[in-house]
Amino acid sequence: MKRILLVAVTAIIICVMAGSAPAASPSGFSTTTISLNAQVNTACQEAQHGTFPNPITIDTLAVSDQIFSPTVDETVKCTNGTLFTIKVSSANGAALNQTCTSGGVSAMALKSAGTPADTIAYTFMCAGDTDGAGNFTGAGFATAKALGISVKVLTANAQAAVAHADYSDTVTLTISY
Amino acid sequence: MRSKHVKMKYLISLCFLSLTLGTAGVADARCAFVGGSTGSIAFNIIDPSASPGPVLGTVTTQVNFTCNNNRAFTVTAAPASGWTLISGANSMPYTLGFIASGLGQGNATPIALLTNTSQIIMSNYQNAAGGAYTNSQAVTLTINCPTCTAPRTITATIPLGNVSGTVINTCAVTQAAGTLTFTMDPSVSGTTTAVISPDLKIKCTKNDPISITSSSTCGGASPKMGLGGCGGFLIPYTFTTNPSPGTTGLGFGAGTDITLGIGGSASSVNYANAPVGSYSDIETVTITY
Repeated sequence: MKRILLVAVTAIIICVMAGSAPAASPSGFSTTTISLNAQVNTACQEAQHGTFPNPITIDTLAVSDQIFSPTVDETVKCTNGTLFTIKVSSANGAALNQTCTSGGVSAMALKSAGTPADTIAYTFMCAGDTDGAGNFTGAGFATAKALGISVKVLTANAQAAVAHADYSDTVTLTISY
Repeated sequence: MRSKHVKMKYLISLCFLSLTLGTAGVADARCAFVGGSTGSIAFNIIDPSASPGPVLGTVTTQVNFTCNNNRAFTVTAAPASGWTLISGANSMPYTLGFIASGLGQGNATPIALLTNTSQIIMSNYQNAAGGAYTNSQAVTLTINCPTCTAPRTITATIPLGNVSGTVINTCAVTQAAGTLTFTMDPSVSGTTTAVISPDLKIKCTKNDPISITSSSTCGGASPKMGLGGCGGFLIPYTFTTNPSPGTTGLGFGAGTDITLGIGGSASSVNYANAPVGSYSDIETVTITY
C-alpha cells in the first residue's frame, strides 16, 4: 500500500497594496502679520498772504473808530485739530510777538516815512480766533483757516494824526503751534 | 568455540561501525527567506523646512530571512551607493538602511533585512523640489553566507518604485517683518512712502509657485490706518509687496530667502485733513503655496 502524503501548501498571497505616491504635492498657506504705525505730524503754513488796501485812508474827522478790512485776508493751513496762535510784531510799533486776538494787538504804529516822528497808533485784530483769546484750531490742509485780520484806528488816534501820505508799517505774523 | 566467539564479536563490531557510519551526514547549513524577498521603504512626507534632519524612512514591506545558528553572513547592496529618488527631472539622494552583517540564530529566529535607518539628510532634501519621489533604480541586496552549503547567497530586491516619499510644498518665515512706518506731513503735497526694517523674508519649497495677498485690519482689501484704532479717523493707503528674486520657491538652504519687498504709500489727498496723532493698522499677509 502506497501511502501518499499530501502536503497541502496553502499559499497565502498577501497583496500589499502599496499606497501610491500622491500625484500632486500638497499646498497650503501661511500667514503672518505686519504692524503699521503712522504719524501725522503737526504742521502749519501760510495759505494765503493777506494784504490791505494801499493806501488806506484815515479820516481824521471821523467820530468813531475806523476799521479797515484787508483786500485779501490772511489764511493759514494747519494739521486738523492743531491749536495754533498768531504772533504779531510791528516794525514801527512796540508790539513784538503779541498774540493776535479778536480784541486786537495794540502797540502797533504807522510811521511817516518823511517825518518819522509822526506816527499813528493802531490795533491789529484777528477776528477768526475761536475763543477770543487768540487760539485757532487747524482744519487740515485741505481747509484754510481765515485769520480775519483787520486794522482799527481809534477815533482819538485818527484825530491826532498829522496829515501825511506816507504812513506805513510792516506787520509780521508768526504762526505758533 | 573461542574462535567462533571472537569472530562473532568482530562481526558485531563491524556492524556497529557500519551503522554508525551510516547515520553520519553533512548538515544543510544555509540562509533562506521567510516570506517574500521584495522590500519597500517609505519616507512618507518630507518637509523640506524640517531642521536639522535627517528624514528617516519606514520599512513598509520587510524582508525576513533565517540563517543556521552561528553562521556568519554579510549583506551587500548593488548598487552599493548612489541611491537616488526622482520626481520627474528632480532628484534627491538617499541612504538605504539594511543589516550589514550578523550571525544566524536558527530557523526559528527570522532576521529583518531592512532597518528603519534609511534616511535623507537635510542638505539633500532642503532644496528638493516638491512632488512625489520614487527610487530611480532597483536595489539588490545579497546575503552572503560563506560557511553555508550551496547556495551560499540569497538575493532580495527593492524594485523600482518601492522607495517613496513626497516632498511637500511649504513656506516658512525666516525673518519677521519690522513695523511699516509712515511719517506724514500734511503740509507737503504728494505721496508719502512708508519704510520697513527689516523686511519680511520667507523660504519656500524649491520651484513652488507662491502668491501673496494681504488684508488690512481697518480696511480689509482697501487698506486703511486708523487714529487710535479702526474707529477713529481713517487714512487710506496702499500696501505693496515686491518679492525678490521672485515668486517661485528656492528651497530652504542657505541663500534661498525670498524678500517680500513690503512697502506702502499714502496720498496727501487722503491725509491733508487728518487729525494729528498716531495711526495704526495690522496687515495680515497670506502666502499661498
